[in-house]
Amino acid sequence: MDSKEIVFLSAAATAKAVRSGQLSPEDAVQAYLDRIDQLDSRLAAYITVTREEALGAARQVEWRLESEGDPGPLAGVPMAIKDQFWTEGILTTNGSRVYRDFVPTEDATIVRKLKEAGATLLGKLNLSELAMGGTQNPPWGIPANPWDFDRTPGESSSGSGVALSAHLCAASIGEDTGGSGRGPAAYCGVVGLRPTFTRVSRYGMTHMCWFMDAAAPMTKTVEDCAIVLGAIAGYDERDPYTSRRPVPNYTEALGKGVEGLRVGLIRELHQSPDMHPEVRESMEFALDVFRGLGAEIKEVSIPLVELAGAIFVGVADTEGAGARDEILRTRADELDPASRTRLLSASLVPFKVYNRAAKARVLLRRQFMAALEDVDVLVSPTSPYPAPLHKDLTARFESADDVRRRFFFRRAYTGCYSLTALPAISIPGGFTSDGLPIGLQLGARPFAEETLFQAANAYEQTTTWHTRIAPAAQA
Amino acid sequence: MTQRQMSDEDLVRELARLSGIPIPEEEVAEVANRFESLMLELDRLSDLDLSDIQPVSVFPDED
Repeated sequence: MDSKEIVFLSAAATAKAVRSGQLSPEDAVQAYLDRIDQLDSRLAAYITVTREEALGAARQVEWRLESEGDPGPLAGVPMAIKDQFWTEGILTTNGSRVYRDFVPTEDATIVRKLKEAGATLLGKLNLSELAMGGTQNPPWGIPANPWDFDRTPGESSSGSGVALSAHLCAASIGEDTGGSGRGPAAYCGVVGLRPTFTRVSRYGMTHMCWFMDAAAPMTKTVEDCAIVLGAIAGYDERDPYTSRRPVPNYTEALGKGVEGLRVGLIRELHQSPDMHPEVRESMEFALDVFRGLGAEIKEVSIPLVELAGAIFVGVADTEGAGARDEILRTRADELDPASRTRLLSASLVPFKVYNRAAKARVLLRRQFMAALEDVDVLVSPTSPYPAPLHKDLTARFESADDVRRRFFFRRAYTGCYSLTALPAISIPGGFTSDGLPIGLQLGARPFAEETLFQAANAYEQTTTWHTRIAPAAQA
Repeated sequence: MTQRQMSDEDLVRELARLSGIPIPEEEVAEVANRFESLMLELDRLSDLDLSDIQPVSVFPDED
């Protein structure tokens, strides 16, 4: 198997080739390291490449194969982690100069679990500062969208999306507070999952908003996503919020089709006049696909979803600013100007306003749960438009209306699931006429990740969007 | 600069002073602009009837 074949394999195919002896774990790691050397100076997906550690881990997997048999569901799969998760002895910057010397003394729980599942870790991935978004001058370079270098790969798990889209890793882990995993997945044409809030441990994650942060598997295929979630999900005594529910075998949901499944289009997110017309067309195409596969299509109303962007920022930014009080008081000059402005303004929000947003969050959850009485899966775009230009994303806000249009509007699409603690997945759902990926987002009831994988896999198997290769990845 | 903008900036200076968070003078205008936008957007929540709702940080597994 040559290097180019190796890097274009899915995680599932990589593990299968490793288990069967067709591919050595060391060759798999080396193929990705060579590709990182070749492409990443322009893409800036990685902050740290853990070359020697990855090769050492590959040799360990080889040893486990020989001595123990199957090393696990991710046997020899080269993965990379958003630089927001602790890695023992390895720099963990959180994308911020404030953390430029932070070297954790232990692994985050999910990092430990990935290693136990046989994954080999290639390195730490770039992100927006403190997992917030809008960073003007990222200290470790501006991650470039492999579909169009002038456009953002999404935030904040930018490197996680870029690395996957450019095939610089077989699977990655992002983090999703308000869409930070699903957004980059949509803009980069890959799969991104926000699990049910209590499904995956957050121990060893530097937090943006403690009550909404979630580890986000990001992958090339839906099958890979099911495998990665299965590897990292489950109770962790070091994260008291994790659920004790057993972790199902998520791959059993694949291949079941959607016959009889009730699929609901969220009316308020679909009818927005500001949605890009080709995004709207791709959603209607998706409904046709599901209908053609035997699903029952409905339209559901969730009135408060239009305010989800405001509710999200009212809760998450205020919470995030409070959690960073010491940085704001003593090290604010080390923050990127955009992060500093966002945190400073959020730090001034009165408690009664925060409390109102926190209550509105509960009302939004009630409306989602009511809608999910009528349907099994909710459908919307992940973003109302394709990847914006870098220059538009980092431009100063000119007015309140400008802030609403550029900051709050798109956050409603992903923030609604974060606020309601429900699982949601973004999968490749089409392309604009100028070749930019469009994300299709599916949401479901708490702990119904299997339903998401079932529907997402059925859609993926009926379409070819996920097989397209980004221009910058064709090298 | 309008009277309204000056008031917003003064408000931000005062809130920051009470919070003990230093804001460099050259950044007050931008923080004020952002803060005003944030409060305007959050003001849209004022019309909601939230009287029977208690806020929660984490939703229980079963509800």
